[in-house]
Amino acid sequence: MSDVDIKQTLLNYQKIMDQSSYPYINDVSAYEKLSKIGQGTFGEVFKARCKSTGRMVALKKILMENEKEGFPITALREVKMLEQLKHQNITDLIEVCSAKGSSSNTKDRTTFYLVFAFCEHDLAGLLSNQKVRMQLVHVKTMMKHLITGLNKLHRSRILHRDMKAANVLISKEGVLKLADFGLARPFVQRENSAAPRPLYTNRVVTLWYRPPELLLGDRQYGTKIDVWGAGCIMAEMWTRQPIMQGDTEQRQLQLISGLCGSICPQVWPNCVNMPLWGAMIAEPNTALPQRKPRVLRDRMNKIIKYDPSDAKLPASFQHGPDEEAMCLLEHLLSIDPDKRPTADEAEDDIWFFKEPFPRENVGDLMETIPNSQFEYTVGKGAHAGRGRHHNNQPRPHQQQRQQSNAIPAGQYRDTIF
Amino acid sequence: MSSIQEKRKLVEAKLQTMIRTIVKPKEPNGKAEPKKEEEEKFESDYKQKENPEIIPSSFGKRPIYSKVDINCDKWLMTLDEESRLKIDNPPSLADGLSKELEEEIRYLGCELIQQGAILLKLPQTAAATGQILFQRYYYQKSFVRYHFEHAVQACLLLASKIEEEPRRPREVYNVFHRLERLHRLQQSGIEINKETTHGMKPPVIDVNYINTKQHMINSERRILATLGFVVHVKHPHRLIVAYGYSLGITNSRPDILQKSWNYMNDGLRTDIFMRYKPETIACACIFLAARTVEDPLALPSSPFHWFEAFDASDRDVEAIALQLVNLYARRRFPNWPCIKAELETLRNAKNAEKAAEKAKEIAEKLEKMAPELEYSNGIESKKESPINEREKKSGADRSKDRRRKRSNERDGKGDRRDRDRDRGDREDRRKDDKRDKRKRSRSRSRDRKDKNRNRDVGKKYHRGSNSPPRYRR
Repeated sequence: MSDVDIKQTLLNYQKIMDQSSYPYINDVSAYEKLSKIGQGTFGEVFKARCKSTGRMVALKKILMENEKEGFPITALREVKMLEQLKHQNITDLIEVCSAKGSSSNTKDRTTFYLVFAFCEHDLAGLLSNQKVRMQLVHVKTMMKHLITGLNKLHRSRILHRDMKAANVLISKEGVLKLADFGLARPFVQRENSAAPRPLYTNRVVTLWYRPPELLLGDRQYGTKIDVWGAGCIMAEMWTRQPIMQGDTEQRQLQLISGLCGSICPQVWPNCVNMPLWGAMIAEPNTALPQRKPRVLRDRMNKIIKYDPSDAKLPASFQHGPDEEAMCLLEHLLSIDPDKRPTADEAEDDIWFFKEPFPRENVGDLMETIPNSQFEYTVGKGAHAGRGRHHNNQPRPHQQQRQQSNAIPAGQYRDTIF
Repeated sequence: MSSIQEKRKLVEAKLQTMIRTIVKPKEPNGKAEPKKEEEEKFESDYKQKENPEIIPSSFGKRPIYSKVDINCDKWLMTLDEESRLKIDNPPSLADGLSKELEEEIRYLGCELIQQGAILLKLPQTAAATGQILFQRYYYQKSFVRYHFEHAVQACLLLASKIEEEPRRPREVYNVFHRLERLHRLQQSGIEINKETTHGMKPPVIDVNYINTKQHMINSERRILATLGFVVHVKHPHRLIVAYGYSLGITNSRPDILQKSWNYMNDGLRTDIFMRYKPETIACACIFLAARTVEDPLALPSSPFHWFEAFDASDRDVEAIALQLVNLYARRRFPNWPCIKAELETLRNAKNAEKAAEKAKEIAEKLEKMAPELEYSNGIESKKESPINEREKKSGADRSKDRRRKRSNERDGKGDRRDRDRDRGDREDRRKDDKRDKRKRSRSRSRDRKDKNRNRDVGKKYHRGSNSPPRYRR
């Protein structure tokens, strides 16, 4: 850079500084809202186009109407974490925008928007569309991306705490990205267990993807809760719907016992130390049925129905998940969190180094899908009934989900997170 | 390019010698390892940098697509001319605040944040974050325009969230309230001990609380917007420990580390965190501590100063050290009520100025709208004249007035007379406006009453003191 260049750039800065009232924050009017693509307790998500570059983005509005404690700490965390996390498999935060309140009574209220790079699909929407045919190599590539992203998160000492198919986005290029850090938080990693570990809030993760230790009231959980979610998503790749759809926490525990075998000290020595273990095991109609076999493998083979006459299906897919895949899945869905692999170990799993090798991306799969597949717009899954064109019966889970999401929003009820 | 290559070689050679010179005087056991790491680290850093040019600070740069820039380096204001200008002329000065008073308010605000953080049982990092946010904010906004009391509370609230130790606005309010009363006690010369503070109870929930909370939350949002969410601060605390370790003083001289740590915490009250990188500040703190500690320690200085290994120049280090030493020359604690009163007068002046400008605009509009009416009516045109005069005066002259006023304030006596005259002027102007506009909404007149009352508060204050109020002790 020569002196002239520097002077020129400085002049440009000066101009920009003079023009805008907030020199470090852009106004949201730089983007043109196209349509709404999601809604939840966290706020609204819009698809938008940048007026100057034409690039597609997703605008996530930070809701502040109900905040009695000032700016929500979850949003602060989200911004703080996403700015550290620049990774191929993690959603890309472009900037934070503001919009000045227009009406007179909210004159001083600025609304903030998080601007993300736009992704065409989310995994839940994709899986619910039966026309999307996935081969083993696609599943493997997507799992590889998912676990790589998760590993990056955990290496950066962040818990996602809301792993689910709807929070996994897939870009047009076929790259999978972890999204929605509304529940995420940094954690402290202490090797020496002498110091007491901090307590986190227990009411996290959408019920269907919630691991047994959270259901048993654990508040000193770690990265393994996300690994369980990854396991659920992996199974979902074949079953095409969430594998355990409980409507209450008790029901969810029963479903887990039914699929992964009963939760007992033989399988998980530490389970007796869980806060809710004593109360739950004593109940007459217990949520923890004992002596249930682990049927995950059989069930997976049964659930996955293929039409052998369908000649279009490639040979590798007709047999469903192969032996190594089942092995990894079994591992990811271990009852005992200590027996679950870390994301780092899972990334090096033998499955990813066997034929068919995971590819760079699943672009070829994406090319076969003409429209965006979002859970919200497709109208299935947790957002069913809230979508625009479908009147599917809302699943019993929906209510629960709202609850489980509502609690972290009012998190000041318990001050220790 | 060739010159860059040469420079690169020079730096490399310099570093090699540096590392060697530091290694030698230290005890060999346990020392060898960190050195090696550092060497490696440096090399890897070096390799990573494809482009060795000095990049000017990205201060004020707009975030560009796909190159998101939400890091704290954005807030270093040294490299480019414009940010230097900005740091020398904080926005408050434009509103008529004197440079000394501006510094005073900064000091007071930081002090309050520090004390508030202690009362809220926040970690020191949160206190540091809060103070740095406060400093950054008031390099963008004016003290006159935005009440620093609200910003102090908002900074505490925000810092507690950033450092993952969330506190409620209610708690912040309680603490701030207590600090305010403690401060009043201190100002009136009463010693603060258990007996004098015994009667202090947390404030009750009243209108005042609700208003303050609203202000706090609005202010918090404004801070976030103003800083563009660049609220994450890199603290030199850890760096001091790391540097101390590589200098081999962690175990032998813990007092130096403690002292440099203290220097850094005190340095939060100055603007060094706006100007220098945390690495440089850490070096300066150790540098100063090693000299001022009871048993001074000579850190390696030949052939190069030790801190050059950490990418700090002697010019910067000495400048920071000087600023830190100057900090301790301060004898008095800022007088809060005085500052408040001073800001209030400025605020009123500004409001009046704004009102006058608005009136002027309306007058102009009227003039344009109904020229016939105005010219046909003899009384109207008479009234027009004083406004026109003032219009002429308004631009350059008014600022001159303000300057004169400020200089007069130091003399004390002339000040009041001047202000009285000003006030008379202003009231005249108001009357004129009234006649011009013929009717005035009720809310306006209420406004005026409020302003008058506020001004009376200021007046009362001035009456109570013989010397200029700012330096009353």
